[in-house]
Amino acid sequence: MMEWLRRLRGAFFLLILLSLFLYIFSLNFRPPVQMDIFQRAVVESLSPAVKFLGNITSSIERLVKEYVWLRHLRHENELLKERVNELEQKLTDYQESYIENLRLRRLLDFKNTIQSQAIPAQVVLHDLTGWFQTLIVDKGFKDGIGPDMAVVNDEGVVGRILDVSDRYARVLLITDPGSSVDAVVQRNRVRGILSGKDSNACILKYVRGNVDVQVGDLIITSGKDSIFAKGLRLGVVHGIFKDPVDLFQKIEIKPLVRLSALEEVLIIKRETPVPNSFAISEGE
Amino acid sequence: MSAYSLIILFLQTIWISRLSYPAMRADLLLPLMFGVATIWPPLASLSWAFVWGFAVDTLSGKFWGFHVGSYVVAVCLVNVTTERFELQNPLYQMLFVGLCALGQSIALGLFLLFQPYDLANELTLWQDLVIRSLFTMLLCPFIIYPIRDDKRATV
Repeated sequence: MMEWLRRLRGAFFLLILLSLFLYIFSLNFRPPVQMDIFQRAVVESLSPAVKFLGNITSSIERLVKEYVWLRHLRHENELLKERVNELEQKLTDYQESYIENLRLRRLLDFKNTIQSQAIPAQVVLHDLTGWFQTLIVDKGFKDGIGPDMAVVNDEGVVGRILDVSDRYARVLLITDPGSSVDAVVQRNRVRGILSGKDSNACILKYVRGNVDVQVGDLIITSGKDSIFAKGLRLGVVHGIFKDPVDLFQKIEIKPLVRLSALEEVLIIKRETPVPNSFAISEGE
Repeated sequence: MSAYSLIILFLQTIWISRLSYPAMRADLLLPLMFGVATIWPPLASLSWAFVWGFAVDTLSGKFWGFHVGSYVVAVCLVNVTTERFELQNPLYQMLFVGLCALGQSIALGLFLLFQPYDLANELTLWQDLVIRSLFTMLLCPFIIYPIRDDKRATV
């Protein structure tokens, strides 16, 4: 009898493990939403420690690089890079305005492309395996972050919010093959869909083979996917491959943002429904 | 064991995942789970593998079930072979961890194949995954060595 109970216990435990595994595997097929209680437990408990250790590691690295290697030159280089990024973004904005005017489009009201509030966030960790293009930032539902919010920095578009926890959120980078951004070539408004290819490149899909795209063309957001505002910089055309029998040409894009070296990002807030559990807890 | 697992997790997060060469991005927790399975009872080591696999899957955010499945398979492999092989021998550890890492890499490669890769990148991908398995295999003895317990599995 005891032997039978012991075997039953083992089978019951295996059944529970299998059920849990099927639940975890089913997460591959669900749309991005608020993280469930188990995921929140993992992210909320481990992320602060990872962030703390990451800060220590970064501080030590900065200390070595700043005080041992080219101290003054490095600082000056960083200041100049920031200035160049600011000027390049201004140039892009001016070119956008100039192109629109040349086409004689009537604008009823001309606004700044980013009207909404932008929340700064720090990158806590990149994908643990190194094979997927996601990262976790230190802002979540309690900071007003919701799924499908755009994530940018001063260099350009980083990605969009995928999953959200209480104080952390997962970002899907534009270099992830699951990412899709409605994009246009700034020069001639050729439209396509920007998807990720690998950690260093993207591809611009659904551009017909007879359309003029050149290496060096700047790719920007079209603003038509209701996630990213219009005119945000995505990348530069790095390579074009035309197959005579293929309807579309293969356009490789190099992102402007150095995604592997990201430390701070901006999350552009937009109206998103707050889950009932948070509405109730805020009121208590 | 919790502290050591956390240290390995932090090493994986802060350094290994940030390596620029994809083939060097080994999974340090796979040998750890193998080592835990050699010193703990089967149910305890299965639960440990499950919990840490879920933690890694959550922090990764894609291909849910990948790490849970690979760690559980590693633990099961230990429990099946523990009476036939001297699993305290580093060579056997490297062999079995290498096999698990290769299986893990194949699963990862098949998942990544559903993404748009051209032929040249596809060949590079498989090459990187094989080297990743070898790298995990070489690191295995160093990760398992600090795990000490009186209840070691013996032949």
